[in-house]
Amino acid sequence: MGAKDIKFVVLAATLLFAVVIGFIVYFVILYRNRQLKNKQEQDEREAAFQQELLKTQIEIQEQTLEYISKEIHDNITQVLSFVKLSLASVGNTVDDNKKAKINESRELIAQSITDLRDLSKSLSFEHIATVGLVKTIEMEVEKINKSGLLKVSLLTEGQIYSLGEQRELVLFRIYQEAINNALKYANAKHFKINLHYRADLFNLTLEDDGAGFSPDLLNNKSGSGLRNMENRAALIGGKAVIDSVPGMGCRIHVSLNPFKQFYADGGPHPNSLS
Amino acid sequence: MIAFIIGVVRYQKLATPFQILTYYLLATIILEIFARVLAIKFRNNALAYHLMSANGYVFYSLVYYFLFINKKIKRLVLLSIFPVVLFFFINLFFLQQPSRETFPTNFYLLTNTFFVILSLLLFKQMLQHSSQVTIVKQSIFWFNTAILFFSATMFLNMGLLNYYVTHKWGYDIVYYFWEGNFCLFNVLISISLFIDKRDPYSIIWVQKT
Repeated sequence: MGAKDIKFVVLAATLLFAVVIGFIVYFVILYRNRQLKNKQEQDEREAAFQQELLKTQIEIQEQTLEYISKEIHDNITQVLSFVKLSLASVGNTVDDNKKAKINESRELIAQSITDLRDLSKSLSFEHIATVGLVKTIEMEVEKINKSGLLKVSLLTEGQIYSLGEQRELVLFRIYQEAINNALKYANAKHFKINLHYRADLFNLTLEDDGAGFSPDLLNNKSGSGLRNMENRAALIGGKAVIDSVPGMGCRIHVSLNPFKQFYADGGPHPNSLS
Repeated sequence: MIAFIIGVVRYQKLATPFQILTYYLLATIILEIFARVLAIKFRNNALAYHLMSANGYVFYSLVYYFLFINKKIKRLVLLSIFPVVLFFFINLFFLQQPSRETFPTNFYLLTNTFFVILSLLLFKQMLQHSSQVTIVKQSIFWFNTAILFFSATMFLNMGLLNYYVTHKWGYDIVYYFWEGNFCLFNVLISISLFIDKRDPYSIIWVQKT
């Protein structure tokens, strides 16, 4: 076998090797790209699923709150009003000593009716849709300050504009969660609310001077309420940043672009399932 | 032999197609011994190589049968065994009789064409149903690479061998090239047997969405 033939064998073999190896390399790269694409799609599907899940949870929660609100307003307060009227009619037929006690009871019932109506308003979506976020928070602040449980201050900056019913409801629920935490867990004395309206950005800052907590709490099961705030903010296209140090209170900052499409799919308000 | 030992040691952990592959390796070893015996006794072991060629097609078809998802392809792979085996007998008795010391090149050309097609189809299936497992950790990839590589180079091997034999040239270089390919094929098969796992096999394919 001459040198020319050996050369031919080596050349042909090398060429075939190169083609097969080239194909395998090409396949590996193609496969890797497909894996990355699939992973990306899977992540997107999971994110969409999580958002859908959160939306559903909020829908159910809002429906429940609306139902309770209606029950309080249409049923309990009506019954209490009837009791109050009955006591008034009884009061005219008894002696002065009993009359004073009946009047005292009537006042307590009247106070309960007022409190329940306030509670009904704060639970109901319709109220915030009618009067808006700022007004609703103002009323809440007044109510809490009146109770003496907490000293709440509200500061509004910039030209107030509507953020949309859905966004305002979600922001209000975040506010409720924060105030609930301040009262229930943090044992706070002061609570600051700042609503900052800018043309391209809206900021809601909620601060308390309570016990605070370790940042690790956000990853714990017990920190689900805090995580919920973050999720709720994400749902309306915003971002919630929660800062806290044990003994130094807590600061929740929610920012969102008022022009950004909320509810990634542009879906209906959580309160409306239909 | 090393591939067979790996297959035997890891037999319980292997998925069905790779268990079949282990049986194939056992059958090949037996036929290799048979070939040695024939060579010593009759100085003609062509019959053993004929049997080896049929053995290869039947076992590899079964392996591919279990690796494919598409039912139509599975059925075709399984049904192809019958006409191919029929052709094996025709070749054995009428075209390249072992008594004439002929190597079953006709049969190898046909079956290697099938193997190239099957391996390409399996690569296509892998792309369509890609798993999140790194490709180098997938036994199926190494097995299929081995088949594609060996089948594709087999054409060159046989073509060159025939060319050199016809021209009565020394064909040592072709022989070494062939042996080199065969070694590489066995290494790839050994890797596939070494990394195959029965448990994750069932979830290796992520359904196309």
